[in-house]
Amino acid sequence: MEYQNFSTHDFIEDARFRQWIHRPDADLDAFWQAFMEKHPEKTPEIIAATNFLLGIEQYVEGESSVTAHEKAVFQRIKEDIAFEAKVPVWRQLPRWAAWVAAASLLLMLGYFALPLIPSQNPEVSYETSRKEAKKTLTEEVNDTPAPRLIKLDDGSTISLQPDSRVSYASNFTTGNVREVYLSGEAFFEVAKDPDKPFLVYANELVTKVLGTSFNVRAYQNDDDVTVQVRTGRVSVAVAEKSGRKQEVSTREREGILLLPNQQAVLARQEIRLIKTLVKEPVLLSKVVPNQPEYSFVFEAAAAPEVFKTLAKAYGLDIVFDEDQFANCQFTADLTDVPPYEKLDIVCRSIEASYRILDAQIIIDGKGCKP
Amino acid sequence: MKKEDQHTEDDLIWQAVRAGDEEAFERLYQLNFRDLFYYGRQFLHDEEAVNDAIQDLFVDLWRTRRSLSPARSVKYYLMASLRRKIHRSRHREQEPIGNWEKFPESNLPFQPSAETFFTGSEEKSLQTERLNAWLEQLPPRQHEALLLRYYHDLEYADIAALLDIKEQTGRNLVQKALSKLRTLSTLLIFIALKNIFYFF
Repeated sequence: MEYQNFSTHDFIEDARFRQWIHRPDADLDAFWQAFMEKHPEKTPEIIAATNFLLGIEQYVEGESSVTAHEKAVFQRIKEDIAFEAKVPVWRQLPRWAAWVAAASLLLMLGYFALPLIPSQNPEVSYETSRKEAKKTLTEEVNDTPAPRLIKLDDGSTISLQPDSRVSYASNFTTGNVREVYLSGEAFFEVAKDPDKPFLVYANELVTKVLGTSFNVRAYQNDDDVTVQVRTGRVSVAVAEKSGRKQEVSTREREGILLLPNQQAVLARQEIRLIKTLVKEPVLLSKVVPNQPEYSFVFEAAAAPEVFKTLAKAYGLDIVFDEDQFANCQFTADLTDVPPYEKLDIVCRSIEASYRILDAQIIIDGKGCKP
Repeated sequence: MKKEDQHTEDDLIWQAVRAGDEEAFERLYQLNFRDLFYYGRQFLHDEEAVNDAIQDLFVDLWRTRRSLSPARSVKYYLMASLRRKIHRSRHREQEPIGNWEKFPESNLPFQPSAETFFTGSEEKSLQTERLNAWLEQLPPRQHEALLLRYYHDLEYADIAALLDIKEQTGRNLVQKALSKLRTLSTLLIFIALKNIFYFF
């Protein structure tokens, strides 16, 4: 990088520079500040380039704000395509109808699940994936009772749980992907390298990331494979080699996107991927840079505000009827209470209940009288 | 996040949308709304008309998600679709326009005037006004290409595809616009110094 020879014009043409001005983050700030400290003589060019880009931004955006438009338009889009239908349907139905619907759903599940049970012996496992890798693999085994930390050459770390093993190519950093095979459970912290995606093969599941942290649980004899995301974004898909191709639907093959505090569970018999929430969500401000911190001290707060605070702090999708709960008030200090207990306390105090459906939390209740 | 990261992240989201992931769809919307809104506002006076076009765009996108092809640049794809949508609706409402380069200036895409934004704010420096005045007087295509490059952060290849010209022509359009600014560039150094303290 020849930034020390850059003219104002070169700076405004540089994608990394423009990104720092338009969408700054901690990494970019650190990079450009270090550069300016090292090359103070470049300050005039940097100021001119910054002013040019900010001037353009100001010209385009003026004093207007897009946030209100953004929310309103998405609401309209949602209404148009009605994909929220899957949640509120039973809220519009009388109570008995919801019960009937739930019961028939259960019956149907039972009917379809039965024929699938006998096919034991999964076709993709740690051993088969390792064989197909056609590379010299280094294997690490943890047969101690405590987690074992493994450092990879690219700076990533693997915290390998007891009774688990991982393999990776001896020349791990030289290829154009970084591939790891896992049997058992491990927590990964992946060093960022956009040119080399990091792939974890665990039984039938492939997890693809750029730089992030997440946990994979894939013991050979478990019925499920689970991926939980701590930070960043992760894509999870069913491995292409997993034999029963015709049975694997598009969703499973192309994968689903996971955000922090979400997990994907693969039911291995049916090869069905389910997205849901992790059991212990962590505060986003703890794991994602530049996240605001939220206070959990509520004093006569309207219930919708409380739900919104919880949703934002943990990155959860909480579905509730704003009007219905508008008159419910809540007072408590929930600061040191675990996440789901927070929800529980709020719900009980306003005579509501919550349930988890897919990756959403749905609040049911009658609301409060004014 | 580096630019390449952004691309790969876009790919992940795009794939997830194609597979019917609603959350990815919302994320795609959030990531691109700002660019689409301000891009659309270049062409339409009425902000509600811009909103309508964006609404149509995303509703269509969701309904046809299964037949979407992998996108080279997601932002480009969305901006190009919006541009087509807006131009098509203009055709419907007005007399059909042929080559809009030859079209009377008054009917060309709306360019917000500096006064729209800066009325009454005396503290805006003379230099900001000069930058705005310079942007105002650019021919429409140079104007659009310049904003695509320095506001929307598009690659020259994408700018060219949007304007339906060769990549080199797109590059020339932007650089030609900039060359006029060169004389202004010494002034730019002193623009709104307070802006930059935020970054230091």
